[in-house]
Amino acid sequence: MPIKRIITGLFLLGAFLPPIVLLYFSLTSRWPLPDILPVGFDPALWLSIWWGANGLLKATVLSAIIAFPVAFLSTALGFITARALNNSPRREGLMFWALLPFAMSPVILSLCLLYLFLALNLVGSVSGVFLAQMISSFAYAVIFFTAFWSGRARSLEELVYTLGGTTWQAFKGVLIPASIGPLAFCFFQTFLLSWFQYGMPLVIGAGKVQTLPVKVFAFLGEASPHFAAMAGVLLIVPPMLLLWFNRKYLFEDITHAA
Amino acid sequence: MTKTANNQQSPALSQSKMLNITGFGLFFVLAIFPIVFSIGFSLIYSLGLFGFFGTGFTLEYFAKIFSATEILPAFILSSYVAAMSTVFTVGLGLFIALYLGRSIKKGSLSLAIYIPLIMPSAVAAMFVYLLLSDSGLLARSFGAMGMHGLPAMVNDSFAIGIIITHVGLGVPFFALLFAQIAEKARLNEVKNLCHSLGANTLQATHKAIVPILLYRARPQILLSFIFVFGSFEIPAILGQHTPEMISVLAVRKLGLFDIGQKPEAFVVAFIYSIVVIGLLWFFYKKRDRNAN
Amino acid sequence: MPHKGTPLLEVKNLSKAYGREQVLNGVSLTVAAGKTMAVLGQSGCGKTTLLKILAGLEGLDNGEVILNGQQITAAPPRGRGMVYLYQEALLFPHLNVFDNIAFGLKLKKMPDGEISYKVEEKLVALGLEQHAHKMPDQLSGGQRGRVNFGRALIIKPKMLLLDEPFGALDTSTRARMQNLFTDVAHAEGISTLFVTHDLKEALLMGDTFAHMEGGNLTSYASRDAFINAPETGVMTERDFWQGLD
Repeated sequence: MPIKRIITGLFLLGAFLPPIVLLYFSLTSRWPLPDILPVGFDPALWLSIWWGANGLLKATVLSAIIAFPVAFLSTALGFITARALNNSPRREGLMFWALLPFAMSPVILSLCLLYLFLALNLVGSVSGVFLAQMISSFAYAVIFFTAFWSGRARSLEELVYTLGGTTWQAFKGVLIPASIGPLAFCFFQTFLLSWFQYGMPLVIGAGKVQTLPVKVFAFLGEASPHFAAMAGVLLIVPPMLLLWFNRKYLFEDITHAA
Repeated sequence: MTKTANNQQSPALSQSKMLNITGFGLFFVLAIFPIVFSIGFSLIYSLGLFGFFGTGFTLEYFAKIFSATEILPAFILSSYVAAMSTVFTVGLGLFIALYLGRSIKKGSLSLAIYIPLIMPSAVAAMFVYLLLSDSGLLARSFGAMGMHGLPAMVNDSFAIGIIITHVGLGVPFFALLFAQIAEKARLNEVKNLCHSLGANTLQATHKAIVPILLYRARPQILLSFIFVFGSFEIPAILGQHTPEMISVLAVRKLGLFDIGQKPEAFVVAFIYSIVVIGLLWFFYKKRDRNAN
Repeated sequence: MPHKGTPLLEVKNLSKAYGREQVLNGVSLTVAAGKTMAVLGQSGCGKTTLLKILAGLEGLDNGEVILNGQQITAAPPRGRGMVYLYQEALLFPHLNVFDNIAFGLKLKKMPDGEISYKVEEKLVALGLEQHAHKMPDQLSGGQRGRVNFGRALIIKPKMLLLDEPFGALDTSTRARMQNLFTDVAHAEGISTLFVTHDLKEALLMGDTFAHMEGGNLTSYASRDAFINAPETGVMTERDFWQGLD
């Protein structure tokens, strides 16, 4: 069917064009009018991230230092918290509170929390940004795992008890190994939430915590689209690799992901 | 009759209880407390009851919603962008899920569909800027063909660039979501049932499949609206100066050196929070009623 | 171990409410050692809640549970020696058949050699020796059911609590599982509380009988009393089949 082909083609174009264009921009140095594409093809530009002049290497490391612990902790704590909420008779009402930090604009949330973070002496620090990002990632993990716990996870846990196991044995022997798929999915999603986040490093980081998204905006502000594109490429490569290696169980089921 | 409160705590249950208590503690610290603090603080600040220049109780800042030319238009613009983005995202997602069906789970499409899901808003907005701005790829290409004067799609008053970016990022998610709902709800069988009841394909799709898909996806549709409504990165790059979308306005007001304008940032934040809570609450109530 | 026929499980006046809904209303029953009590009841009659309370997985408002002459009303699930089995087999999805069956023994930190010996024995008894290394998703419904029983029986529980254990199986598999279970239960002298909504299954499996409705439980002195009680529906059913002649 030709129409189906055209739609598929447009879809493929829409998906693959942005990363390709960004990659091309990051490999060039100038874009004078009226040239359609940028000129000055210069792959050596990429070497500059190692020299640190533009701070991209530092930004990448910093983003990773924040995003991996955020993902790990929010997944682990969300797993436990969702279990607690699910065991509570007030489950429905509590779930509403879990939705709020996830649904609220991170930048407005950080704005409202700014004075609290100031009082805790966390503004402008990596730990401040970490804590702020934990709020929205944790909420996501709680929502994600509440659906999980209301399924067969609870029955599996009870089964271990009647077979003579402790809570620790239930987690170690059954619940964690049997939920590697959902745990990996949640880790990936919370990693992305933190890795992509601009508003919280901006407000809570107060310009001092220069993560990759902050760099994207900084370069755009300086009208250096080539460096901005480079920061953009650095932003999408790690999730692409994670996606490629985990595509088996990632995204198998997204119906309860949002 | 013996009263058997859990007076004898079992090791398993006490471990389990401790884990529950830890969970509730975390939930309070990381979810309930930040939200209550945020709403309370933004209200107190916007009533002039906090800050170095806290003047004591005043409704002056709230009055600016209607008098100032920024706050009300920001809410109108954000509602418009959120509504348009959601309508187009859901519509296109439905179309792709129904038209391409199972093929989005196979071959190159199955990979392509995940790319927008791992595309940060800031990067997507940058791409749209490079593509659609008046000196962007599209304008230059048309220029090379001798065509000038493309309509403005970036920093424009209809927020076209913002909407396009949100739609582009959202469509694959909804396409996948609808495809999965169709599979889980066995909509193929529903379709066959419709046929056996005498409906043609169009009628079956229009009267049964689409309503079922939309009904099942209500939470995600609402969240999609809320996310766009409060989005920051995309309008920060692609939006015009006035009016701004809510998040952009709030951040600018906060960052201004004129400390007298800071309360306005909290007015915006407070009203935004109330709108979001209201939308979610309305949905929750309605769903509870339907469930009973 | 008490002798066959002496009461193993005694439940006295057990009550439970969720909010305003009274789920169990002063339930009392006795199960003799080595016997199976079949409890007949439609869904929503409170039978799952009853079993979960007996297993220690749910709290109770009032009443007593006595096993082997000992008060276990407040004992933890793991100390009760009662295994509660769900309607679906609920095998551990990340473990193969061998490890699923071995699970309870590993919890007790039994030496590996002993575990292997016991599991092999159980696999043979259940006709599963060909499938020891298969994962749960490679098994048929009947095989999953057998693994489920093996996993419970291997830890030698004092009592099995079965909640519609064959409910998810097709008719022929169901009949085979019923036979297998009766054989195994008698061979090992297992005491069982068996709840089902299926009249025929109740009659096939039970040594003693009870009927449950709206949170109330009636025990019958004999099989005949169960058959003749109008609320169990046995007579209606018999009249229907006889009416076909």
